[in-house]
Amino acid sequence: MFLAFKELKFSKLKYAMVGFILTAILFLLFFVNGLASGLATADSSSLKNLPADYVVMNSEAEGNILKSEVGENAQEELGDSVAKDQFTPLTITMSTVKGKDAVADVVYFALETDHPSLPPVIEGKPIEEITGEEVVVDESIKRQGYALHDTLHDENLGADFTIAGFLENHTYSHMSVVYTNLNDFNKRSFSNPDKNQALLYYGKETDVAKMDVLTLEETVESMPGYSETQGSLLMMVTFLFIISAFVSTVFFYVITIQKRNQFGVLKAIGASTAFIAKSLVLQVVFLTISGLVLSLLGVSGMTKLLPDEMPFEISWQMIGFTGIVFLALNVSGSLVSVHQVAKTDALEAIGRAD
Amino acid sequence: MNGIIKLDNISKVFLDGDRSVEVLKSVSMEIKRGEFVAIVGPSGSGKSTLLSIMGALLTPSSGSIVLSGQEVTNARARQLKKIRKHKLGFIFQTAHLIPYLTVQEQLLLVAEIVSKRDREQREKAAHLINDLGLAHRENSRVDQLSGGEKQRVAIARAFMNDPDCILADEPTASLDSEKGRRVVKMLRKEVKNRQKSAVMVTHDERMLDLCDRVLYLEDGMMYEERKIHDEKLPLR
Ligand SMILES: Nc1ncnc2c1ncn2[C@@H]1O[C@H](COP(=O)(O)OP(=O)(O)O)[C@@H](O)[C@H]1O
Ligand SMILES: [Mg+2]
Repeated sequence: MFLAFKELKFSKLKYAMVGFILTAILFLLFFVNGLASGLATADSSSLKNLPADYVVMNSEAEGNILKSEVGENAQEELGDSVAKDQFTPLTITMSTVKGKDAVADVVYFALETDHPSLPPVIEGKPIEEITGEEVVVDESIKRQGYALHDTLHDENLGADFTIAGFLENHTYSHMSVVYTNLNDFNKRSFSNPDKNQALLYYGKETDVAKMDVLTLEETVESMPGYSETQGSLLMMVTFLFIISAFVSTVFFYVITIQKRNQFGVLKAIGASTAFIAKSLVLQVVFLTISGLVLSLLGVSGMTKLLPDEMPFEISWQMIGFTGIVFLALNVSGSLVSVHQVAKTDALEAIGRAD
Repeated sequence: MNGIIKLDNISKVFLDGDRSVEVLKSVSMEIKRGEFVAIVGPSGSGKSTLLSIMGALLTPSSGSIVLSGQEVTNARARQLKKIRKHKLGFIFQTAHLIPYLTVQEQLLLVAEIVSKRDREQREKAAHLINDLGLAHRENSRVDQLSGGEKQRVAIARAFMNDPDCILADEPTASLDSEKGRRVVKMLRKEVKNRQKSAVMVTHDERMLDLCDRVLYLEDGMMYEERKIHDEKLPLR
């Protein structure tokens, strides 16, 4: 199909600009999307990855797990419908730790370490095996200079812990989550063994008096501020997506309509509409894919420049989906104009009423 | 079977608002193989309309047409397209070249549309380029060519699909008469060499001596040269 590429080469500047705009649009789209899902992860990944099917919280807490209080009664009631080894109390404590040279905000998640399917570690000891002062911490704490076997010195609680392992994707409100053994945690003076923040269990949904039973998804969504933040980010991303898809479709529509004369000539020398469309689709696909590749290169360059604390996350599904939608829309944008041009036939190329 | 194009009692009525205008009135004519025919007539007399009908671009209101020896009066659009693609070559008032292709590529484009770009087609293109005195321009782009050269490229392109008949609508209108005459001479040479037929609509009577036969179109009626020669000339 030399026609398509000859034209690209001939109108270099024009197509370079189209490519640039397409790249910029896609870059913005990927970037905002990456930030939105990065923020969501930093905010809530620890809740999303809780080892449970359901989370039991105090109804008064209205889904805010930090405010929730769950006592003995609820544990006993849940024990009636869920096997003992399928549930665990969860105690959540926010605090600040000091290390050799850095301070870090952390959230302790204390639970029974014989609970099934605890989050897997990426380094060090699994949570199931930690005892005493040992804790497993989200790897984000490494950014504060902590390493395996370092000591977390917590002045608020007046306690020291040792990092026995690292997890990934366990942050709460941008803070690193520290998994500890609930039994050992309860032995400490600051802990009140009768009060937990929540109960985690595997099994079917049940009712517990005065308690809300939430799925993990509901737990995440009821985090204070989460729905609001994600809602507005999602709206931004959606609008950005719609606008940019529209702009790029119209762009290709207009560029193609401009070639009306040329198509008349091609038809006059015998080219079918399919022949013209093929050459056009080739151009659009080439430009769109170039835009995709360049914008992804740009995004991956950008993430290297971003500070580590800036959460950024982009999935292949998102990239694939965007790529397919833009390809489909751009191609149809230009095919719509081909369709219109198809109606103007070779007659117009012949000077009629001179 | 040497009538390449045969029109029988062709008429064409255009609807202009609520008025209907009969642009062609029962025109009959025949073009034979190897014949170079000119059609002359004042502006608005229906020359382009007639040529479009011959080129299967426009269907007549009544009458019958034979193209390349095939009866096409009631042919389907698909068949007409096929005939246009394989049996007819068009040359327009302006060259209508593709701006971003070289002279050689203009011709190879036709090859690609009609069939394949193979060595045979390349050789054919080279031949035509040579015949039309464009050898030194083979790899030039359109914007580097003069008007006459462009029109010669258009002629070469029209021959690329090896048509039975060339239809040219005022091919010299955008050229001065000297250059125009050269172009028409080359068109004639190709028609004669390749034993094709050609119909040329023209305003320029200085070209008429290069044609085998001249037909006059006036008020939608066709006259043989002799009938009106004296009273109608000059046309402009
Ligand atoms: N599609 C059309 N609709 C209405 N009138 C037309 C159309 N095409 C041509 N005409 C009219 O038919 C007449 C002949 O046009 P044309 O064949 O272009 O003349 P010529 O080429 O001899 O100058 C003109 O009066 C023109 O306005
Ligand atoms: Mg005309």
